[in-house]
Amino acid sequence: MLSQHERHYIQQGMAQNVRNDGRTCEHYRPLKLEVGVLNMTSGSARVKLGGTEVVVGVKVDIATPSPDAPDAGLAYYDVEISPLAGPEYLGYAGSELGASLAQRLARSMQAGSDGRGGAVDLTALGIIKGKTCWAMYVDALVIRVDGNVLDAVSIAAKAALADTKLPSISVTEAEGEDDEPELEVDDDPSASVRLETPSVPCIVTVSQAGRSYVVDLCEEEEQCVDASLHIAVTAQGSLRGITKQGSSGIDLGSLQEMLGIAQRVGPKLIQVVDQHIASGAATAQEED
Amino acid sequence: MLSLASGSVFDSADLVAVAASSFDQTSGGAPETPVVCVGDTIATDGQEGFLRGHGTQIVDGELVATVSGAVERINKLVSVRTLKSRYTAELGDVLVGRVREISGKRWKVDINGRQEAVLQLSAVNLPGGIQRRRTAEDELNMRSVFQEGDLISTEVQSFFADGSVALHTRSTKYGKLKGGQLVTVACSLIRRQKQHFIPLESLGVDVILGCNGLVWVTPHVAGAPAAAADQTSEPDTDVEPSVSAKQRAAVCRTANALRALGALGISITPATIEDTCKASIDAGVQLHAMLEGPFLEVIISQETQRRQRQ
Repeated sequence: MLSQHERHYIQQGMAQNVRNDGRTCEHYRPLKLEVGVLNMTSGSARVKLGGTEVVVGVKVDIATPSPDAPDAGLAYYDVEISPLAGPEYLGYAGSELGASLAQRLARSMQAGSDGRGGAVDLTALGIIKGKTCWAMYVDALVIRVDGNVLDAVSIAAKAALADTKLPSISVTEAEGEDDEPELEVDDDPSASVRLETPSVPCIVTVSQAGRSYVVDLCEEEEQCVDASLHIAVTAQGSLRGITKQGSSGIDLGSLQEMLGIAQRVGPKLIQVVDQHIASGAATAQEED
Repeated sequence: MLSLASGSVFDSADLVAVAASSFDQTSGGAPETPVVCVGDTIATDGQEGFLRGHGTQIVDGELVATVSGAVERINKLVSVRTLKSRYTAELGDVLVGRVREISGKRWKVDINGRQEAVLQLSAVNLPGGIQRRRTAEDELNMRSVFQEGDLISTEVQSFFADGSVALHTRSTKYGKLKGGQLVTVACSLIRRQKQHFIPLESLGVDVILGCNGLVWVTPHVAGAPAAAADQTSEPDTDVEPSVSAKQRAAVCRTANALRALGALGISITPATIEDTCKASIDAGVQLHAMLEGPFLEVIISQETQRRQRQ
């Protein structure tokens, strides 16, 4: 809850490029990232972006591929807001926000109907064409909400996917005509295969307040903007998807400017995330 | 421009531990207040007929703390005050609060306490200093004085029988706050002092240190002794004060100093605020970097030196 005067002060600050905590409009808050935090998952990560905290776990399971893409695997994305994230998320109050975040995340990762061209190449998850494949469940839990939750979720998802290891699986051909081929999953962790994730995007949310465009809003600032674009950007700066939030419309000039900011900020963000992932993987190897 | 701190990222828990350990070495001359943990026995030797206060319990004839915090003794009453708790009001405290609700002749104000405080229509100065007429109409016009969400500076006037707080703004220095930003810190960090409206001319800001841990920072206004930007004795104008980029940077620096002090658990006084801001200017720390590890370490060493001097 903000007074109209505070809202005015924050908007004026965005126009002057000095925000309440001293950041400029294109500045992210300090990021803290850990990978491999959950033992029971194939890959996991925890992200703290300012006050916002998110944990993502990736689980893989054997499933039947869809008939449209028989040689591809499946990927499911889900986001849940913890009831402890804040008083407004008590009980099931966060489920609506969680569902909308999950949808936005899934859209930015979506592959074509044949399983190619997505953030993760789903054909790498195929096992036997038309019969079996890996299903990948990416589940995010938002522990604390302090603005810009979607960006934090996407960073955590990217890190968790990069941390994901698929168990190696050997297929023994069936002897008879009607027999199913036999699958043997190797439970040795050192024999697992790391998922290729170079084209997984991060979502950069750019918000518009008057004529100023701002990234990484804190909770107070989110109450002061007209509209937000969630822009999924890859390391090369190419766009993977855009969704919009907020009541006011965005004109063409603003759109171009906001996309420009996302393309400028996104690759730098991913660079930092990749550094964190690399250093996290290095320490994990030392422990092994 | 994008800067993401990698490596030494601000982790308050670690730094508070560092701060606590470096302050521990300096607790030489200062009179010591005993600090207890849950279950610790509180010494009551030589105290005939002590009274059991908040945060204590008698177990097997001994006085035992039920919370962690500092032991307070007022005459015979022994109580334990926790460091992190909601604000407990005392008469005459200057507060910063937020209007939550308007209900029949009164505003409900959130003062970060256990209960919402009440500001009665009869306890405010009406805009323009006009005499209040007790009509139904002026109850309907209450929103023209304070709206839901408005931040106000106010003072504790009295208590009701159930312990809830009655506020008043019957002075030109109290009233609606605009043209600045709010910082929230633990209320135990703000001591009760002579002045809570503090002009920090050297920094170019005015600060209202609310006893409830809410601190309001605005650009310095010459002349007025750090009064609320909106004087309730004048007609209420909804003109927003314009703030230049330079003033805003000063406000921001002060606010970040407050946040840093709050995160490290250092008591907030005009001197600590000024020292922290000056240190950040001397070290050439950018505004946003004031909440990151390296500068917090500077603050810790500064505070350690200050305590050694005492």
